[in-house]
Amino acid sequence: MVYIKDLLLIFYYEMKLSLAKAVEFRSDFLFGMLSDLVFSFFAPIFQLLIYTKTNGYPGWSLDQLLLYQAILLTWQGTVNTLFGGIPYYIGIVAKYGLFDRLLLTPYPTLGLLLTRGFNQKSLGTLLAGLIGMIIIIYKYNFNISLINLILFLFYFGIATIFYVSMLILYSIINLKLIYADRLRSIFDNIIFLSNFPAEVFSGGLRVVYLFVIPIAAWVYFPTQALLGRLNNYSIYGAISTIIILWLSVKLWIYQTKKYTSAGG
Amino acid sequence: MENIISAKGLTKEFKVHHRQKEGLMASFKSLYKREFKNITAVNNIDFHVKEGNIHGLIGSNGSGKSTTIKMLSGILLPTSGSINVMGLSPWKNRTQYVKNIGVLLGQKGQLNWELPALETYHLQKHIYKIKESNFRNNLEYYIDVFNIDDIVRKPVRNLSLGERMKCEFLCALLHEPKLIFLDEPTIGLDVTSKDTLRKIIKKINKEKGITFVLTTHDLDDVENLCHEITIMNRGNIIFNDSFDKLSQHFSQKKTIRLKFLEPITKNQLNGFSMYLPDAYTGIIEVDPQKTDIGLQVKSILEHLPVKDIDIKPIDLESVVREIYKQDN
Repeated sequence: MVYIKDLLLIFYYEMKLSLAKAVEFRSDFLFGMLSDLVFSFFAPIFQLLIYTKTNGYPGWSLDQLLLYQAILLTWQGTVNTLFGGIPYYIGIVAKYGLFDRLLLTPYPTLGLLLTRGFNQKSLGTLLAGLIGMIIIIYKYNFNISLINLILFLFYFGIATIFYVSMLILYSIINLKLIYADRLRSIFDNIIFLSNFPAEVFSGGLRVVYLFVIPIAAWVYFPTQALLGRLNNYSIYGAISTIIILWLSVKLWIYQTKKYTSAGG
Repeated sequence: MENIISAKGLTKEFKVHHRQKEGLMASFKSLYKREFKNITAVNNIDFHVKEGNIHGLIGSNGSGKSTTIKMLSGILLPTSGSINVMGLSPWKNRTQYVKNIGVLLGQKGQLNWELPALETYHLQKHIYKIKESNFRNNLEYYIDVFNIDDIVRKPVRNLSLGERMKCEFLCALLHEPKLIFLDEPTIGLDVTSKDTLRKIIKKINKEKGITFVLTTHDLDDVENLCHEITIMNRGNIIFNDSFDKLSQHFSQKKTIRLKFLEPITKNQLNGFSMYLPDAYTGIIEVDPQKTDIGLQVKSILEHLPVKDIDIKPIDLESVVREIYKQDN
């Protein structure tokens, strides 16, 4: 806990450096932002097509589903902006033995790793998500109570924690296997499942989705919170997320002790 | 002088993938069955460094010097043994310990490639919580010592290797460490850059009293910088003493270097124990306490077509070669 304030400050400076770097290549920065902002709206359109051309998702009206999609964009934009640089960074770190450098700084390695995640490329998605949420809430007259808003923010925090836990596990496997590029596609596919609400899945799959690997924590629970439709499942999902975070941190500490560096 | 580093019974073993056969089939086989081998990179060594010294750690590739540095700096956890640096254990007290050390890993830089080095220095300031006034003073002092006022303002990707190394070095110094580990600091540098870097190390050691531990393949680094030397071979220490002791140990020996008028073959050497790097050059190592150099030279001049002759004390490279030969 002593380190959190310092690490937040380092994250802020790393973020400034990352932006300075991006601005060095300003055309890439501007085009990236613009394309992200425009193409981020394609995912909801895709969902809309699925919804209108099929029987839709049980228990979800079109306006609720659109809100789900906007929250999905906001969540993706948030976690990718804050931590999106980590999968690439950890790949380089593992491959070239650069973990040495993390061990040479006066902070817990995991904390420092998380400060290296800022990725300005996803700011467009974040912006698109936030704009989308505001428009949908106003256009479809969603009545959002204060308690629902607080619960939404709480579950949005849980969503971020679960994402960080998955990132830690991803990083551990990368450090262990040294070269695990394909792991990224598995990670992305798991995240892709958050595009769909729990009602799409049935039986055992739904149990996995809600509690075992609580993918529901990412978008489903926050959306349900905002709509005032939370049930006990969400509490179990949140508990499951905290357990996974605890496990991933323990595994990280274990793996750090096993670190063998690379080269001379 | 007190010891700043005391390591006892230090051992590091690695488990490495070991493939007996080469080829595609062996690659497929290694998908489901892998053989591993335990390698002892560092074998039960005792290692001490005196405060304020420049201590050289030399050895051939795979001798264990980088592994030793990594254990001393807290990067690797030793398999067994203990390390005490400035009263701290590098692994157990890592976050506190690394505040007091600087590490320059020749091939693992910390500068941001796309940005000027100054930006990384500012980040270092926050990471190590360096006071603004100290940061300014140190930056000014080292920029002056390294003579890199313009260089620190250019993107790192535009710098030469020598310039980059100076910037990396500065980065390791900003938080005022008492001890600095340099892992092959002069690797890949041209003669002028090497010389500059050595002068800087000497100056900082003298003016700031910082202790340096450096690994190197370049014996000129050792000759020009180090007060004490540790020579490692196959994970063991085979020499550990002052540079003067190393010189004294072999100083009585001389090298006679001959240039010939015409090519010489081994058959023409007439019993002289001579090393021929090429057909026109011959090198003899002699111990003046056992052999009369005058007589030896006279005999050579009588029997061989000598164009030029040079008698020098034995060089460090030959000394190290000799130590390796004795160990092997």
